[in-house]
Amino acid sequence: MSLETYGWLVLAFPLAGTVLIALSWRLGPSKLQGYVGTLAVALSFLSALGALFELQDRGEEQRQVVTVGWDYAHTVGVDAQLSLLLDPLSIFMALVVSGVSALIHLYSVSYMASDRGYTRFFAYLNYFVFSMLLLVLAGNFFFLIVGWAFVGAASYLLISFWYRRTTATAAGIKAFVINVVGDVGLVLGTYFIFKHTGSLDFVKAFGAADELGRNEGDLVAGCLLLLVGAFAKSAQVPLHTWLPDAMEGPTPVSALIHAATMVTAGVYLIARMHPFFEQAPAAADVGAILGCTTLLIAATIGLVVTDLKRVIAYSTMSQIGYMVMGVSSAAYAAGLFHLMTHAFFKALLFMAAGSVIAAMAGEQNLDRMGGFRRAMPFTFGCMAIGGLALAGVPPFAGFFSKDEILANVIAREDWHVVLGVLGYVGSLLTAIYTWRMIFRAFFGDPVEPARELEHGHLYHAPEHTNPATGEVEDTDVGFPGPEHHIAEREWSMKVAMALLAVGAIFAGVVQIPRVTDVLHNFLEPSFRDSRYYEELEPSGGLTWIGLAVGAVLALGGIALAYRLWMQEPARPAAIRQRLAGVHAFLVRKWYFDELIDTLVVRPFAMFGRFARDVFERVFVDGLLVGGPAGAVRAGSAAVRAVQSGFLRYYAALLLVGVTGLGLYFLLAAS
Amino acid sequence: MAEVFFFLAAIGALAGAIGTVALRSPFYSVLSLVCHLLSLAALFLLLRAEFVAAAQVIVYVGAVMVLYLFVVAYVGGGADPISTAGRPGLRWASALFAGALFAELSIAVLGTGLSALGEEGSGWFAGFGTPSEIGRLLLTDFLLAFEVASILLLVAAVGAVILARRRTGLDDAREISVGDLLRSGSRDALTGGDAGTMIEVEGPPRR
Amino acid sequence: MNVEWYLIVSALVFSIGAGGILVRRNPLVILLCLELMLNAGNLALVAFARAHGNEDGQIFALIVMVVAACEVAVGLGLIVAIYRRRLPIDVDELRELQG
Repeated sequence: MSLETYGWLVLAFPLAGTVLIALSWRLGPSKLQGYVGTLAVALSFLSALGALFELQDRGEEQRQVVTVGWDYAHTVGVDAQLSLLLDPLSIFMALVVSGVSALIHLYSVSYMASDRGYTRFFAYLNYFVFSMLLLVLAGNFFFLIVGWAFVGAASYLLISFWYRRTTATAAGIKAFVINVVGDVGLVLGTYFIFKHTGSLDFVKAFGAADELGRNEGDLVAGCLLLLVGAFAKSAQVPLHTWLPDAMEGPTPVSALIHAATMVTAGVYLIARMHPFFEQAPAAADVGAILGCTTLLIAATIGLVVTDLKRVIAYSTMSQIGYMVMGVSSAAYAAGLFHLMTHAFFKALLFMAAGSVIAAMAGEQNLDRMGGFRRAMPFTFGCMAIGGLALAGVPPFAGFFSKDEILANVIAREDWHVVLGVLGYVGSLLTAIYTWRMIFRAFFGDPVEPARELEHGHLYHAPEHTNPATGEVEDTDVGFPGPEHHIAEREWSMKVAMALLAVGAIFAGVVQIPRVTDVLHNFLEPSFRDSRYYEELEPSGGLTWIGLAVGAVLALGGIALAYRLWMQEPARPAAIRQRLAGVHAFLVRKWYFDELIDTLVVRPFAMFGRFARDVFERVFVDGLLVGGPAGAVRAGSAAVRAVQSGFLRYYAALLLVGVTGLGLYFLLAAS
Repeated sequence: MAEVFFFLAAIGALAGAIGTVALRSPFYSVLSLVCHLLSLAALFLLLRAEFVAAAQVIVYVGAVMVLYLFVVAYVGGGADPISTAGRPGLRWASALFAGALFAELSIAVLGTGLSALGEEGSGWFAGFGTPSEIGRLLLTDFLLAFEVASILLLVAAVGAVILARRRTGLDDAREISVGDLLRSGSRDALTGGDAGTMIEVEGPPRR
Repeated sequence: MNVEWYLIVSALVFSIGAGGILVRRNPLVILLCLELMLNAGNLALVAFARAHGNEDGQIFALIVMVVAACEVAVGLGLIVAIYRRRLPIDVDELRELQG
């Protein structure tokens, strides 16, 4: 089959999957629907593989293929076509997305098995995969925006999956609102670029990018707006507040959307738009600085949060900060490499966390966990692998990818060196908070659920509650199901986690500095028009120093965490008391929620109240509506006075009228 | 000679008109109008409109006014003062406007440029105003008006019957009928007496 | 006789009738005043017929008489109906058709 066919198949399978699963809702929840969903995404992955092979079969110069499905419109200079751009970058993203999604589908088949909304879950999940693939394969801005919007909608649907939980629906709304802000930025940025290049098609627009002036005002504005879109999707400062709240969704959702795929859409966007960002270095620099800021802020918050999933969420935010920093500093291959490895180990971490939470019967607080090492060896192994990869311990995947980014950033010279150094500080913090989480959850004295599990008995909570607020729930549709499923007992969960663990361990092989350059070479056709892709290469000395520093920081961080949380359990509490102010500041997430509340939410609410009380009531109802109505009423009241009911009054009017008329005619005739 | 008759008839007409307006009792007003109508018939004769004059006397005086007399006798109608209740100024204002109207019309008539008005009138031919002439015109030139007028008469007859008939079914307790009148005997039913044998509840006073 | 005289008489009767409508309260009398006005119109019509020398005005006057008769019939029927319902026969009191 040809490359184009494979490209369309990649999209067709998840779409068919979602439609089939949705139509089968009458059959009631059944694992068949889960397998259908998994199969659909797996077939999509195989199609992406087929596309990859077809692409590689072509010559070096022909690796950017645009395939048009349908011409929607040719108006006003706008060509809107259903077109896909199949080149190394999009195939790479499609492979990562579909591959990790397939494994997460497999995991969810068992994990969500006792949830009454099982069918809906898989329909949404397939819909999400379709949207994300549409986003990465889109060949023009039009479809990028369509995919972008669909992904936002899928995220909202999945975060509020347990829709009877008010915390979940509130989180869904928050995510969607911030996403919409990003959508606006994306659309406006597209407009700016369209204005200057005259085309919505990627290939044509990129071709015209060279003619634009460097750092021209409009272009910088357009790129900044694109960054707004990217940051909203990828949860970077200042549009990041939705990601921790998004952990209200089921764990597979957190794994898929908020670790491996949706949040990487922003990184993909910046990488794809690199011709414009390279022509507007001001915007790219803003992106790099904000990426660095995010990775530090998120790492510091990750040190103090106590909800298991939120620790991993903040680590996602931090790692995406690395990626954003990388692609904004023109380290494209490095950033995308980290995207791939991060997808593996972050999904793995979330899956393991899901298993632990299931063992705790829904409880997510780290304070109440401990000592699961003996009870859940497989989960512990996966978590440890993921944690080592995340911390950046050689030879795991995260080590190579993170250090590649930092080395490339430092190789940019000038002030980018500061960003790189801060990145290393961040990696130390990463190691600390990751292993804090692992030590607290798996080491120490086993808590009651762990003890019960060691005896082979899965813990059941006395009543089902919302883990965040403690409200009592039932287990009908809209709430989590009555049963929980752990990895040790479900083969599908084990298979998925095992495959990801393999990826987390060995994926680094793809891009060992100075040894293998697979990814860099593979992606080269997509970045041929970049002025940094070939030139930016860290020197040998810089690379080795970077690797060494990275390894030392990772191991040092793990050791520090071991010391604080294993050997001297009282120290963390003591530190917390001594730095109580700092601790409070971090626990409140740097007061970003409060800041946004004051700067944005309150003014809007005030404006809304003003509009309702003053504008609507006084102006619209009173003046615009009431004015004419009142005038009509007054007029008719005046006219109604004529209808007094007195017969003689009417006769008098008649007489007066006749007299007046006669007078007029008399005067007119004379 | 004609002038004498004209003035007599004119004075009769005006006196009748003023009497209709000014007399207190409606009965007398009706009689005054009859007088006015007869004078008007004389004026018509002076204007050589013989058939119209005859029709005036026979139809208008003979039928319409007699109908009026019947109704006045039935309804009664006490002497009502000319003055208006609560609006004393209206009397003078209406007199003023009536005067104004008359003034206008007079000016119109006297100051007009119509040439024929200052003379006796154009050709009077034999047969002017005779029934044969009127009849010929009615059946040829004015046939449509003739037919429409007959339909109008039909409609008016039906309407009058419907308006004045006694409703069948639930009796409106406030209604009185000729039968009641006859059955009342010595009681003065015209004044709508108090609760009696056939006149039941007196309804709530209507304002 | 000049036709003008007849027209003046007609105008006078018309004005008297108009004034009468305004001052009287009994609906019967008001109808009578209406008759006055109609007859004044009739007189004018017949006078003009004489002035022009054709009988169109007389025909018109006849039709006016028909109309007046019909109107009287219906009007009196109304007054009888009002009387039957024990309502006061006073035009100032009968003013529910207001507002």
